[in-house]
Amino acid sequence: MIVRNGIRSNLRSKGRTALFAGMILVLTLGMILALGVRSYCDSALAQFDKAYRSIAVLEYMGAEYPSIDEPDPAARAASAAIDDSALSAVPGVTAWYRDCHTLSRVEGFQRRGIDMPYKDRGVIVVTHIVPVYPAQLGIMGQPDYYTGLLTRSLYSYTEKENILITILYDDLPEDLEKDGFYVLHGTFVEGDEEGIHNGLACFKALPFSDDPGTEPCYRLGEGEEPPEIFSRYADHFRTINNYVHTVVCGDLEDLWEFHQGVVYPREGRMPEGPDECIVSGGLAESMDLSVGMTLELTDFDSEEDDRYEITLTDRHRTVTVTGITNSYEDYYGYIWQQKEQTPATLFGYRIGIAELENSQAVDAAAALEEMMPANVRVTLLDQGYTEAVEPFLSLQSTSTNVLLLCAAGTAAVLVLFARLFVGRQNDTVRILVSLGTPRRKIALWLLSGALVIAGGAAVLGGLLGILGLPAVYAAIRSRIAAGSEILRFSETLVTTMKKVDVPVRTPLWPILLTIGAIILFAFLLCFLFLGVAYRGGTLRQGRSRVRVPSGRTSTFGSGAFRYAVLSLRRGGRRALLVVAVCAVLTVMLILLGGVYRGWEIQLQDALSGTELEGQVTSLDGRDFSGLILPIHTIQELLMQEDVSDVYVSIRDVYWMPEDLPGIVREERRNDWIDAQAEFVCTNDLKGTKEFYFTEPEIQWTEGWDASCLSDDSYATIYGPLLYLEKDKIAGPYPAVVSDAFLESHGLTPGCGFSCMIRGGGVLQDEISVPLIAAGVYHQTGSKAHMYLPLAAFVPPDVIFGETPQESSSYWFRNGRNTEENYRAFIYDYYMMETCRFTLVSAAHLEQTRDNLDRAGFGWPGHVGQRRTTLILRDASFVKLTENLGRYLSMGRVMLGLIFGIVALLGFIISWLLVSGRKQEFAVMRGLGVKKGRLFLSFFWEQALLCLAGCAIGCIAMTRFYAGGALQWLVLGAFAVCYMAGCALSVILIGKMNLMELLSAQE
Amino acid sequence: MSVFELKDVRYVYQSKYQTVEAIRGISCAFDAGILYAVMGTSGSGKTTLLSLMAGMDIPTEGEVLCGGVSTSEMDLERYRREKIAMIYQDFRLLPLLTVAENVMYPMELRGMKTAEAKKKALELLEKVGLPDSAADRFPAMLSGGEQQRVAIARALGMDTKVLLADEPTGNLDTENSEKIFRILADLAHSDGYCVVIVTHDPALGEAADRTLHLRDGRLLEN
Repeated sequence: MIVRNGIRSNLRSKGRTALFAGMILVLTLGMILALGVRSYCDSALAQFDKAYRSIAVLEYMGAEYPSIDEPDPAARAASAAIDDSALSAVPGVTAWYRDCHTLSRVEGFQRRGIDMPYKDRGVIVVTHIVPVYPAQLGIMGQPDYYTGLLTRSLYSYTEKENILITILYDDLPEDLEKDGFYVLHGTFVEGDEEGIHNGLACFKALPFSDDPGTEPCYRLGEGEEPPEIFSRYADHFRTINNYVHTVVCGDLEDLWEFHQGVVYPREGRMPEGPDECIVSGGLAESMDLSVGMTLELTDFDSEEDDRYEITLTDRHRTVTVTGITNSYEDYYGYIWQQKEQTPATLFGYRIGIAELENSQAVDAAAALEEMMPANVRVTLLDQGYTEAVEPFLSLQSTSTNVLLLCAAGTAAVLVLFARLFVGRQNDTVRILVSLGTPRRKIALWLLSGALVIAGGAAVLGGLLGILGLPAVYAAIRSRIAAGSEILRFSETLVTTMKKVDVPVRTPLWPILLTIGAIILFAFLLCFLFLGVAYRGGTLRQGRSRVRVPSGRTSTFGSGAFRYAVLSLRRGGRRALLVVAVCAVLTVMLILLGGVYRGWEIQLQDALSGTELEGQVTSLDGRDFSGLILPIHTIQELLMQEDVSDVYVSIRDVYWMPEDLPGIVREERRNDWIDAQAEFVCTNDLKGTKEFYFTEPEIQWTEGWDASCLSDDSYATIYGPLLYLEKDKIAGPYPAVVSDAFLESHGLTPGCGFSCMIRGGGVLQDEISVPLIAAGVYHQTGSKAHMYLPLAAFVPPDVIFGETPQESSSYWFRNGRNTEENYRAFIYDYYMMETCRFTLVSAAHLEQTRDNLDRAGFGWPGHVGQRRTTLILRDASFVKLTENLGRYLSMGRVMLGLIFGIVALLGFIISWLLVSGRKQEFAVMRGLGVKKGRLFLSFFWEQALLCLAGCAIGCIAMTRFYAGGALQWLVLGAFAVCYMAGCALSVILIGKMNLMELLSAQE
Repeated sequence: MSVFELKDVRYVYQSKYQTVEAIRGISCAFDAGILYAVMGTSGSGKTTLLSLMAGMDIPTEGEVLCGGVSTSEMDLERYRREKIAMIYQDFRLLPLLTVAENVMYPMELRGMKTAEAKKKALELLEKVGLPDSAADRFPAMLSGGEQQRVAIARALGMDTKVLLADEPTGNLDTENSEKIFRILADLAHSDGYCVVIVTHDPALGEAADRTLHLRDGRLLEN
């Protein structure tokens, strides 16, 4: 009966019950939804963490990049400078694997195609050797070459026999026996290159490299086997040419090729133990391998300066094939083993791979970059993890804050609720006491009524939340799906992008726990306020406490303002409460507004102060040198209004005349030249691959500086322009050379010298180029590249100036050898090898992406109409702006919520304060106070108290107050919200019937 | 001409669930210099009648005439401010104002300067028998009788000639009740006020110049 009456009496006070039940319901619903969204995000992030793998690839971006076989001392020095333990200790780094790539021999493997060090070499047996003399000399002179019948191949790549071949060997014995059998050691060459055009395969005899005294030609006696040296060389060629690449890593999934999905297990599984391996599809096909078979491996040792200068060791092992990858040409003969690495000599530029914790990958990669030696690039490859988790992280932080805010709001509302529904039930207590109701039953009456309302509202809010969560999840998924637009042209795309579906699995227990917590908290508060209700509703031996304001009669002010001032001065705890609440909320809002403004300023600074760079790359975005980039593409890039500076380079080899070997027997001259260092023509060193990742430190000699590279007053070295460009300087050309180059050639900075280059275009002459050592850089790579003005290779105005009116075909058609036509020819046929550019501003990055997209440029994963891929080096910028954007959107939600709560608080506080003064209202109205004055009397009081609280809050926050319009706006909005609540409550009370008001109880 | 005149006044309380006819056709007149007592049992309509005369509402039917003008045609706020003064059983003083400020309040409402209002308030307080020291005190610091005197002083400060009192001695002891009654009687007889008191107290009824008895919203005797 007691419980029933307690519940009924509360339920029947409809307005108050509805107000508080509504607020508890809404806040519970808010908490449940926030909790659900947070759980959803947690679940999604956990699944992303499992599905994605982040690695940082450490590469040496020196002059030799991107050769994977170059014995680059600078790369090795950089690799040696990396401290394994320090790197492993970087937060977020879970494992660190150095490049461990060696060569091995596998019994039965027959390599095919390219990448064979002795592909052209051969040891063959020939008979019927016939000399062929020059036509004009007849048989009187030295034979031009010989022809013979290849009858046996001890070793040759094609293993062809019984074919007629051309033989080049100056020292063949003069007493050649026509039917004799000769074994020859040498190499197959292109006959056309040697000036022999008989259509036969051409074999050039070569001396043995480790025994030059032994003739490479030996006549075999009847039934005689070739001498040991011939067989040894044949075996050597066969063994070396059929090497396999063996890659060892502690976790094969971390290797670039597996991580990026270039290769993947087509059959079987990844190896798990040290005696297991996975082999490439090409190797499996070549050897007819299947999963479960075993391989006999023997290690090769490479020479320090040549990966393919190898010797067979006695280190044998047997491994079981657990998996076979897809067939991919670049990984033709590969074996991967997952086991502890042993130190291996570094060739190429790939130093190693760090496995990263997904959630800390970006910071870890940044930390790694900080500690890397110069020229070491750290590329974060996260399979799209950062992009995928971004909206979830944003939602997670927002939902957490909403949850906290709703929890705080619920706590505040429950305190008010307990005070009103229990603490102020003095009359009820008085009546119940007068009826002789036991104290515990009075408690039961009050608690049951209050708890049914609070609990009911919380349960209903929880149920609505549970029912609404699926819709919220669906909305999140669709929003995230709609918002997951690829960042076009971003360097973050230089990774395989995974798509992971996130199933919804939200546990119910946190929701039930939340509802339980609300009910328990309501119970505790109501229980605490029981004492208050009891004290106020019972007589205590005639003792009573009367609160009396302090002060004397005042004559200050007039009208409504006077009453407001008197009331606020004498308002006691009530006034203090308003001031304190407003001050606290002001502090909170200033903090939030200040932080929000700070984010805005940071974002503005980032947008206006960031100079973004971009570059033309290979289709996958990985390589940015060795490109074939037509000039019209560069011009199209220049035409983009967002692009400010463009740096290009073009290169070819050079050689110093004195370095050229006098007698070229073992290596062809072209091969030697091909292997020489490069001279690079560029308009800025930033445009060369060597200085993409490091600032060039050039010691300029007097009178020279970096502007000489972009100086267009130099004539091109090549072709007719030498005489067409009469007004241009034809040398000496300023060159930036390496310190090692100067030292090795006995040169000094500022001195003049000449180098040889190959003539390009139509004329294939070799050209001597007069140079002056204008600048010196410290050489780190193995080759002494030198850097010349772009004008030495191509007139800069052809690239950066106007497009030629006529096509170069006009030149060919008409044979008009004019400068204009030659420029058209350059425009059509010259290709740049690198291209780097800067953006005017990062402020309109989206627009820039749009413009580049419209212009037909592509990005990794998307081939544009121009088939030219660009990437913007925007990873850190995007990360920063995304973070700030996330904070700002969260801030907007928070500000919105806080304003809502503040407005609600303002209303409730004002309502409670004003409705507690109905008697004053009644008296004043009874005295005939005008409505306007009545309104202002109360409104002024509340407004002044609110403003006083705001002022105190502002003063308290002076040190943290960053100024700016936003804070004022926030404070103004808060004050307006509060006073609107106040005004509404005063108006509502003012509308009550005066007869009712006069008889109303406080 | 009578100060007040009620012409066939009816007043009905209407709510969603019930309709109560509190006043059922009362006609009477009130003159200056006379102390009236309106008596009746609980629910007889005494307070409702007084409230209608005080301009808290207008009659459902009939007219309340003050100076010959119906309250239905008046601005009730102004009417309450300028034509009548009301005294309540529970005093209805503004708790955050001092005694003097409470008395000053209606004067200030009429536009009197604060200093002048204070001076007059002190005079009125003296008139109702309160010492100067009480002026700066707050209502909660005074006894019931003292608070009712403040209420009377406030009513006098309204500068009207009609004083309506709803059970003015209801919360007071006998001694204080007599004192208050004497003040009200003096106001009627000496200052020419038309004083209308609603009371349960038969002694007060007998002491009044005229007594009106109400039962079930009807006037029994005049």
